[in-house]
Amino acid sequence: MSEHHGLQQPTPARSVRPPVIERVVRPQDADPRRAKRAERLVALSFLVSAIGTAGFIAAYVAFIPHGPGSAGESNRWLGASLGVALAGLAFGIIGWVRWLMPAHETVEERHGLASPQDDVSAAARIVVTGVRETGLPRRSLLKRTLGLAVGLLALPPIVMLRDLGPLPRTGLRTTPWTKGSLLYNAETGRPVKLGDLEVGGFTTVLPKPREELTEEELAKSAVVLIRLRPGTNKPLPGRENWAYQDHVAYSKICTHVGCPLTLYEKQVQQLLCPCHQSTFDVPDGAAVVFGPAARRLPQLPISVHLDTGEFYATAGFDEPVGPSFWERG
Amino acid sequence: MRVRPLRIRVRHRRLAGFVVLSAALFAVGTGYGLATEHTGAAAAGDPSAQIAQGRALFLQGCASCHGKAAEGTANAPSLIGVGAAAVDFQVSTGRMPLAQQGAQAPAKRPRYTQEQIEALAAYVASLGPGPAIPGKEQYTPPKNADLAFGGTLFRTNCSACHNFTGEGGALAYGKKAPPLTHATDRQIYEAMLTGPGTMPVFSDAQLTPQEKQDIIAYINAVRAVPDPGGFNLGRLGPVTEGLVAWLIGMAVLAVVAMWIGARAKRAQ
Repeated sequence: MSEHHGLQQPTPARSVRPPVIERVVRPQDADPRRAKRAERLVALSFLVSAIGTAGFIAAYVAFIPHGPGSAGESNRWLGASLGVALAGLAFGIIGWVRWLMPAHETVEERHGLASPQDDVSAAARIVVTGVRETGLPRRSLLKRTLGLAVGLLALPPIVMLRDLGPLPRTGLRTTPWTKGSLLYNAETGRPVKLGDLEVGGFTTVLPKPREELTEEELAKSAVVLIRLRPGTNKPLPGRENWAYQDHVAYSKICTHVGCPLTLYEKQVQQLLCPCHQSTFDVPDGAAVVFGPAARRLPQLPISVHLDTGEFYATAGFDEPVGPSFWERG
Repeated sequence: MRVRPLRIRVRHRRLAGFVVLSAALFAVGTGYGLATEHTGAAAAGDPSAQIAQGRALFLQGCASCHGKAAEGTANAPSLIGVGAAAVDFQVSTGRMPLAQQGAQAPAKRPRYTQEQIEALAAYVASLGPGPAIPGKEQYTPPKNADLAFGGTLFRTNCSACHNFTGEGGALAYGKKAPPLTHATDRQIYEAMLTGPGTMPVFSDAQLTPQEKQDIIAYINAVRAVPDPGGFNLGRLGPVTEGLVAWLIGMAVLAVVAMWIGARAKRAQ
C-alpha cells in the first residue's frame, strides 16, 4: 500500500524515515567479568591463529617435497596449519563483533522501488523525440531495407545447422559384422578359438582387427563372447543354432543409451551396464531383468570352423544394435 | 546351624563342575592343537604325505560346507576340478574358510600357514585336474612389461567391476568387487586364472601369461601413484571430491553463516 502511494506522489522526504535503533543489553554489557572472559576467548583464538601461521612456516621448512610422492605430506601439513591460522582469525573477529562491540538492532525502511513520476515522463519524452528524429514513420524505403537487413541476419544460424549432418542413412542399422566374419579379440587382435574361453569366461570381440575399423565402425561392432555353464543356455525360438557349445555372442552396446556392457557376473550369468544398472540375463536370450533398458541385446549367430577351431559369425545382426532411435520402428 | 554347611556344599559342587568343564575344554583344545601341528610336521617334501595332510586339514576345516569328498553341498560348491590355484587364492587371501554364509566372501587374515595352504591345494588338485599354483616366473611381471597395453586390457576386462584404478566397486545382489590395493602378484594372477566368486575366468589361452603380467604391472604402477593432494578420498575421481565439498564444506559454511547472523543473547 505505502509503495503504491509513493509511486503516485513521490515524496522522498516521507518515504525514507530515520532508522529505528534499539540498544541490546547482552550478558557481557551487564557483567564486566563476562566481558573480560569474552575478550580472553577472542585473544586466545588470535593466539591460536598466530600459532597456526608459525606452524605453516615450520611445515614449509620441515617438509620439502622431493617429487609428487612426498608432496602429499607437505600439502597436508601446509593445509592444516593455514586452516588453523585462518579459522582462528575468523573465529576471533566474529566473536569480537558478537560479544564485545556495541550491539544495537536497526530497522531501515526502504523507499518505493518505482522512479519518480518526473523521471518517467522525461524518459518517455526522450524516446518519442528520438523516434520522430529518425524519420522512420515517413521514410518507408529506409524502413523496408532495414527490415530486409535484420531479417536476413536470422538466416545464417539456420544455414549453419547443415553442419549437423550428414544424415546417418543406413549407418544406424548396419554393422561391419557379416556372414563369415571371424571373432577377433578386441585388444590382442587374435581370432578367438574354441577352447580359449573356460566355462565362466567372457571376452570382447570385433569383426576385424581393431586397426582395420574406423572409429564409427568400432563404436557399433563390439560384441561379447561368453561361455555359459554347460546346459544353461535357453535359446529363443528360431535361434536354436545361434550358439555354439555353450558359447553365445551378444552386442556389447547397451540398448538403453549405448554404454559398453563389460560387467559380467559369472555366477548369475548376467551382464550389467555400469552406467544405469540395466541387467541382461544372458542364458535367457539376454532379456532385460532390471534397469531402464527396454530391449534384449541383439544376438550374433556364431559357429566354429572345424579345421581351424576359429569362431565365425554365421550372419550379421538381424536388428540395429545400440540404443533406440526415432525411425527404428 | 544345619542350613549353613548345606549351602557350602552346594557352592563347592558348582565350583567343581566349572573346574572340570574348564579342564576338559583345555584338554580338548590342546589336544586338537597338538594333533594339527603333528599333521603339519608329517608332510614335508613327500607328495602323498602332503595330500594326506591336506585331506586331514580339509576334513577339519572345509568338509562341513564342501562335503567330505569335496563334492559340494547345498551351502558350498564342489571343489573337484577347481585346481590348486583356486585353493591358494581363496585360502591365502583369507576368504576361505568363511566366517559366515553371505553374498560376499570377504578377504581377512589367512587362517592357515603357507605350508598348510599348499597341502590343502595339493589335496584338492588330487581330486581332479585344474589350474596349478602359478610359479614365480609365471606371475612376476618383467621390468620391461608393457604398461600401456596392460592398462588397455585392464580397462576392457577389469575396470567395469574393479574401477579404473583397481579400487573395487559394487556389484548386483549385495556382492562387491574387492579393491586390488593389497593383492599380491600371485593372487591377482590366480584370480584371473580361476575366476573366484562371480568374477569371470580369463584362461591362459584368452589372456596369455605375458598379457596377465602386463595387467599385473599396470595394477602395481597405478597403486604406486602417489597422492600429491594430501588426501585421496578413495581415489574414486572427482565425484567424491564434489561430494565432500557439497556435503561437508557447504554444511560447515551454512552453520557458520547461521552463527554470524544469529541474534545477540540478551541479559535478563
